[in-house]
Amino acid sequence: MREYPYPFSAIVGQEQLKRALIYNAIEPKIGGVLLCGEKGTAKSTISRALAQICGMKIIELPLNVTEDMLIGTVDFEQAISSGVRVFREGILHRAHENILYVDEVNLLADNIVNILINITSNGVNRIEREGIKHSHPCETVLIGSMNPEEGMLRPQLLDKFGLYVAVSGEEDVEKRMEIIRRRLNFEACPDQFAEGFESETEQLTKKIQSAKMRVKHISPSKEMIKLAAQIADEASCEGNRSEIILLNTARAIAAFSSRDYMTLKDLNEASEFVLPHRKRELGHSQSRDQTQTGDDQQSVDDGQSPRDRASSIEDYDHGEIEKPQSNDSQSSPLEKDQSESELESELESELESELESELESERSQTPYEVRPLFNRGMDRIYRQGTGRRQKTRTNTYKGRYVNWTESENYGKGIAFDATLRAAAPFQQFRVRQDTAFVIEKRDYRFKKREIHIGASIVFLVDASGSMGAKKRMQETKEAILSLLMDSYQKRDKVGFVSFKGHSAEVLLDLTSSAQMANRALQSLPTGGKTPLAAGLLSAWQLIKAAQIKDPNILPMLVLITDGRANVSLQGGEPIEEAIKMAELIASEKINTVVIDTENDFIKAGIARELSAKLGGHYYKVKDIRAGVIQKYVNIQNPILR
Amino acid sequence: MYMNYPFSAIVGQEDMKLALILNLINPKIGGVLIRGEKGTAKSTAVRSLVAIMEEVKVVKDCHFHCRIEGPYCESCKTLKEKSVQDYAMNVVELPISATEDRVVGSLDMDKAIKYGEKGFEPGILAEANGNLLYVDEINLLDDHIVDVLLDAAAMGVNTVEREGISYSHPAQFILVGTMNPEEGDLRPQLLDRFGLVVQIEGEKSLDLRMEIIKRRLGFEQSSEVFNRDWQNENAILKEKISNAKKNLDQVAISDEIVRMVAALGIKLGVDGHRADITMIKTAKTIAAYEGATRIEKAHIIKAATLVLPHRLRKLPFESDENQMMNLEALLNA
Repeated sequence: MREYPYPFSAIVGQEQLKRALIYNAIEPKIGGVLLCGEKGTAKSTISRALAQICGMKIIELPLNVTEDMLIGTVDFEQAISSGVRVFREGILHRAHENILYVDEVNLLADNIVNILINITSNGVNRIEREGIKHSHPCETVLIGSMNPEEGMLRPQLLDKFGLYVAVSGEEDVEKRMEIIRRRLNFEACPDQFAEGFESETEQLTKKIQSAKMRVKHISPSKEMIKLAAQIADEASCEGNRSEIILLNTARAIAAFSSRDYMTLKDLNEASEFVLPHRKRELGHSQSRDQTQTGDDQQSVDDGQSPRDRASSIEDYDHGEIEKPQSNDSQSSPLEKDQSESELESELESELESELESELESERSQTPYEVRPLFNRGMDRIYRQGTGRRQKTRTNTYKGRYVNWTESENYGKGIAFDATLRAAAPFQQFRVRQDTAFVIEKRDYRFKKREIHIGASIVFLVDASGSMGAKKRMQETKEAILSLLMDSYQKRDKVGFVSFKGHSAEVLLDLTSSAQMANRALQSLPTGGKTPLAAGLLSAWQLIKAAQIKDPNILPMLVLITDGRANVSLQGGEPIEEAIKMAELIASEKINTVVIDTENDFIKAGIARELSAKLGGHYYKVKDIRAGVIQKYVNIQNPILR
Repeated sequence: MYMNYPFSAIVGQEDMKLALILNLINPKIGGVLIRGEKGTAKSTAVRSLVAIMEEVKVVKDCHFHCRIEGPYCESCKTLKEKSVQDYAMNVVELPISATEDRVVGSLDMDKAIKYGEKGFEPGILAEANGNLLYVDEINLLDDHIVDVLLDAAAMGVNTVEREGISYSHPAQFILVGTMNPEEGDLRPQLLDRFGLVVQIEGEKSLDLRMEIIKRRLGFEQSSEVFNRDWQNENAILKEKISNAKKNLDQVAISDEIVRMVAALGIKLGVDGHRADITMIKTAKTIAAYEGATRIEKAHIIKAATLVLPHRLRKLPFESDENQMMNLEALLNA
């Protein structure tokens, strides 16, 4: 709508980002780029400006898109006038041979993400819904931008982005000044500003055009292929996608440098874009896989390391990667003769339904799954683990309308658009009264919605005398603070329960105010004996009460103690009682984390035992504190986050 | 008839008033978020802005009241000759119970049922175009609504791809949110989209408090008389804003000032460049409001207190004050 977008060539700095976009414009097979970085670094501005120089259109995918609009749906007006269901293309159709841009891609609804994953790996959009069968090719350059503070992408989608660029602000004063100046000039008079950069833009456009022609004739030598495979292997990338993308990117780089051949340097440069989000480090993704997929990953042994649930989806990609040309046309029903053997199409739909069910099972898994997040290594616990805003399907009136359903059990509120489309083809046969349109009960379609929910975390803090010793409480407070930092950003609810003397006390009921939580934390009194069982009971009651109010919450218990229980709740042995309470909590499927503050020379190890009974995760208080510093170091790295 | 409390009769809360006025002068500053306890005239102030907002020229009969100078919506673009209509800018409120279809717009049911045709029914974002959009208790708004709201605010365009409708229209508005931080905070990404943030608390001085009570009672006794009494003050303010608007382009920005801002951004380690740019814009607007012809350091300092607090990369519970007190020292260094 803005008549004069900010000129691409007027953007100061951000060379990596610009290059990644240009390479994609030259060779769309690279498969898009993910821009990851802090706010206010021109991610969106540059992406939107790309259209000026690459001869493709930028199709924007708004966050609140509904499934119908993305893949296409029945043409409502035609259905009424002719009684025939005619397909009306959606965003994906427009995105074919263009750029599909998703701002804040990490905030996209889950079902939309599933579709994107599917499309980007198949290059075809197949529609089987609302009485329509249709398919069209959809080869698109997917550009996504995101701020990692808001949560990460699902690994499968992450992998679909060919390139990755970490974006940060310029630190050089002169450059920063230039940025300010240009922006002000642009806003004062956009057309004049654009004119000033016209010749530069034109030059760049020409350069990209000729590179586009050139890149077709660049093919990698055997050595290059070998090298690419080696590079990918050394980085222990998953799957064989990385090699292909490496080579394609290197070809684009060569073409952009006006060469007809690739060099080692090209490949090196390519690896800067291709590898960051594919490198497997510190076994993070591995441990996650194990919890999520269990045993079925052992079946994949073709050197393609399994990741996530999508291992079988990856297998399909496999074929596509090995022979991009031939396979593409084979699997594209458009180019296929409609009357071709039914067997083949049957096979295909079987494959599809398999893929669909894979996705489905993942879908049903994601909402309440928190446990695996805890398994991703220490540094995650306070960022994603506890605080990640989970997306969940809901059948209340709240949330974003993402799709419709025919059953009232799965949706709430009438989805007018889907209802109208359902009724449209029958209008010619229905008896009309005052209106041109008659809706019957069987036409009703209901809205499926998705909401983000935060976790409800109860901190159960040991405030007994033994915790006061050796600055233990100070450590504890710091550890909690680091956990709170995350909740603060992700809108979790936090509550505090402390126990000391002979009883437990709820210091703060579940609240979303981080400020109040901090206040409660700072004024935490210490001293007295350790009634651990009473503490556990009280925390459990708090969680139960919250669950009654809202059954959709993700309950979480963080226990911070040295484990030295010495006051009984019901007259039994204090430690035994505590362990019994732990078993009770474990049976309620409450996610738990035990943070052990015991650092004496002689360790009793009770906290560890409790943790085992709770079925949760166990950390030493020192680990948590070390993580605070890591957070700032790792902010740019998607894998480590 | 219900009448708003006159803006110029609000006692104290100078930062809040300034932030609002600056946005009226220069909507490109990017809105303001007012954080503060209950009963601090947050809502009163925002609603009372109506009386001091200017009249503008819009395209006649346009759903989105496109300004005559653009940008235009789809239908205005196709018009060969645009007839002009006077339009008084307005405060459009977004209630926190609003559903997404009402915010972004939806399928026009009336048209669909009566005529079997598809049409776009504009939502609140359409109404807000060219106006001020006010969200009370913005921290309680559903996340997905906040997302679309801020996206529209940042782009100046509302893109609708839902319920069978593909539509986009200009949505340029001054976004004003109010919130009580005790009820939970906004996500940092969303905070950053607000140009300015003011933190307010109740006035502490006895004299001011007495004055507040006196005026409020006067207003409640007869809002008409009270408004008449303040009409003149409001008119003066409106005039001042209108002059500042005219002066805005004349305000000179020296390299020295730009350097100061850029250096400050680096020293404080703010994310990205939005803070720098907003700081300059705000300082420029302050200068225009004061009738100055160039940005001085004092303008930057004032601007920084409105632009930076929510953008500093600090631990969540650190108080703003420490860093803000050093501001002048940092600027001098």
